[in-house]
Amino acid sequence: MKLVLAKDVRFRRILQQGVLIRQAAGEALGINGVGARILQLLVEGRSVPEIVSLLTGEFDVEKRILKEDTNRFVEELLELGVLEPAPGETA
Amino acid sequence: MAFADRFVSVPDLFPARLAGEHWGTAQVSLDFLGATYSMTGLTPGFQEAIEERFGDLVVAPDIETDKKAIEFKVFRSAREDFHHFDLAGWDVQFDFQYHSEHVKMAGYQLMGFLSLYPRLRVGLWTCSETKSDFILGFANLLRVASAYALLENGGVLIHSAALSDGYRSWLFPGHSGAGKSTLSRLAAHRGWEIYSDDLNAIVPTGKRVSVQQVPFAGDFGRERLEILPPRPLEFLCKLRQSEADAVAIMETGSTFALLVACAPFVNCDPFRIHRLEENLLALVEEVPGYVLDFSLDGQLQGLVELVEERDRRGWNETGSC
Amino acid sequence: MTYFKLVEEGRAKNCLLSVLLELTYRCNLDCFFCYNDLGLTGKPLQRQDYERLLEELAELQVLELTLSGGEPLASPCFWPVGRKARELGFVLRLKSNGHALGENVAKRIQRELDPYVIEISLHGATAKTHDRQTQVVGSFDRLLSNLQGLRALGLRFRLQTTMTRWNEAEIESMFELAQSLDALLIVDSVVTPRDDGDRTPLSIAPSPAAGNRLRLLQEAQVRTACTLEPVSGKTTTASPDSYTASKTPLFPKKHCGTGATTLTIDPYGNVYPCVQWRRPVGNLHQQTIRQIWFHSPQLPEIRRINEQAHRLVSGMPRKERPRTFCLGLAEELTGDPLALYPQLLDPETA
Repeated sequence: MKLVLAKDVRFRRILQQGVLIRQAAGEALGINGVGARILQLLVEGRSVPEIVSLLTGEFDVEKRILKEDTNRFVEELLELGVLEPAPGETA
Repeated sequence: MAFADRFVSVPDLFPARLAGEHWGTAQVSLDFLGATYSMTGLTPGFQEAIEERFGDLVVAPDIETDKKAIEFKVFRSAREDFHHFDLAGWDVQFDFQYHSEHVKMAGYQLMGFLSLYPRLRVGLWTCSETKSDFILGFANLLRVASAYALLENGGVLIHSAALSDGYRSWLFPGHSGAGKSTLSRLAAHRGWEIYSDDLNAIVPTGKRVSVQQVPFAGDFGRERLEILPPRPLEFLCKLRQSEADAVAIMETGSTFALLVACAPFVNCDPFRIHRLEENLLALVEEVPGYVLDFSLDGQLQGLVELVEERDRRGWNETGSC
Repeated sequence: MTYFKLVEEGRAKNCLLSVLLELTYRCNLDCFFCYNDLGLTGKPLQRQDYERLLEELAELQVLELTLSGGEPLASPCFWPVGRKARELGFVLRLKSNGHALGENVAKRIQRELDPYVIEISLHGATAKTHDRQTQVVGSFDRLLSNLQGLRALGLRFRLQTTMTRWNEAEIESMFELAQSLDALLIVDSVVTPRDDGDRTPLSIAPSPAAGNRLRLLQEAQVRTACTLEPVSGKTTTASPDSYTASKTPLFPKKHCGTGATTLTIDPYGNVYPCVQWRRPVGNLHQQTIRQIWFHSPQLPEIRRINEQAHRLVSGMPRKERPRTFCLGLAEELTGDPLALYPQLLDPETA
């Protein structure tokens, strides 16, 4: 499933980390470096499996753990309303 | 309809101070009616358009003169700041908003702002990019600016025809249809000088009052100004088309009222009307006024003689001759 | 890491986070104490210049973009720049006097620009005072009507005021007014000279007693949610944290964001460290923003002074520490960015 940032969300990678602004709620969320990288790849249109395979080469971590973490992180962002399915995709 | 509504998309954004971004860095100075206008913020095309239209009045930049010059700044506006409509058959109109410190003027593709204190400064915001569109708006705002500049110097701009026999001048105030252009044509055929058949400046010069040319052509006027020297104003005449030529004294009150009605822009300004009245009172005390009935087949020389004769007989007598 | 800490780290490491664009000095009000330098001339930035700039700022991961003026809505570039900012994912702030924010314009802003917040100037709690400062009759009534409209639309706004001799007696009422509109009111107690050095605005600087009253009022204020403050404890992380093993080296702290996380750009492309410190560090007609940020010969000096200012202020005994100290204002008033200027000194400590 292709995911995009929700309409009211702004995202930047700053100092190797990430910042998410949820405009409607008036909230700023800090994201660590890995999370920021995952989010960046999601925003660029990559799927979760693609992201996992890309990050396996970037970080010294088991693919299974990375996959679990990535899925959990994406779920968390979906729950928070930061991400939503791209138009035409179903949740 | 609120001020500027028919010309400007968001009238609430109408400028309240002389600021904005210039169109360019070109500039030009014009000198007329005893004042120098320093135009800045121009594109080379705008500069060219001003020089073509007002060529005779262009003066070289001078640091000392520029310090005293009336600033006239041209600023860029977005196309979407204005409503756009077909100008075919459209009678040129403007909206004014008067304030104790300034005057706002809205027109087709233009927003004008005249800051009046401590001295006159002018701002023009336009989206017009072509020379021809620009010069229309520019000349209209300059006309208004010159009315205020004159007022400040004791003078007044009058909707009128002004003629001269080479020694003295005659002023025929009146709105469109009063016969100003007809009379001007008649006078021109007789070799008289025509200042303008539409708009003229009346300026106090020492103890006299004189007529001066303004660079705004009427129906009869010229695209470019031929400079005529100021000449003492001898008579003020209200034109009335008639079967036969006749002259009658115009009471001072009537002359005053006619002049107020014919003083464009400033006569609607509640904050400056007293200044206008002051200037006009000085004028009517100085220059006699007559009602001039004239027929199209009449002879100008005859009319002149009638007025002069009436003037010789003095102001003690009333009635037509 | 919370957003607040990130900003702090950004300040220490000179990470550009926020850029303010003065799109125009044209304005539909004529505020007596306006700081704009109306005599400034140059080649104005055009739409394509702004588009290039915004693309570069997005690449630099700049988060906040503020459109200011003058009245930014009066700029020919306002809508295109605003739309581009949205497209590129900036957190967009608008600084407006609110006079033109009627229903149609407000709806268009919401639809096309989706700003995070609109910061609107309030000059008094009565028409008499507000209009006296704006020098436009009817501006207070228009503003109140527009604020109600913004509220009905759900557009977030906050009010900002500069305390002056003319409005200082109405500060309490202004807070009440803001509260009645569910809006935060930010009060600046310092009237500054104009950017061309003209000190006329200082003639209406507030009295010292009013400054004290303001301090008490501000302490009593409950801040409502309208700032980009971090949400406490709500830090999302992708665990485990050990993925990121980078150690943060120590960087000297700075007094504020000037030239460290912020830049201000005037309508002619002149770039300054912030809105108050008008010491040019480059011009966009000659350099790109990236070149200016990383290679401006002036910025290292700005940052060095900023660090010095931190040491200066934090080294003062807490009681004597000025509540606000602005390097730009210090330089404008005294010629020295590190000098303590008279407006800083509270009556207690003066």
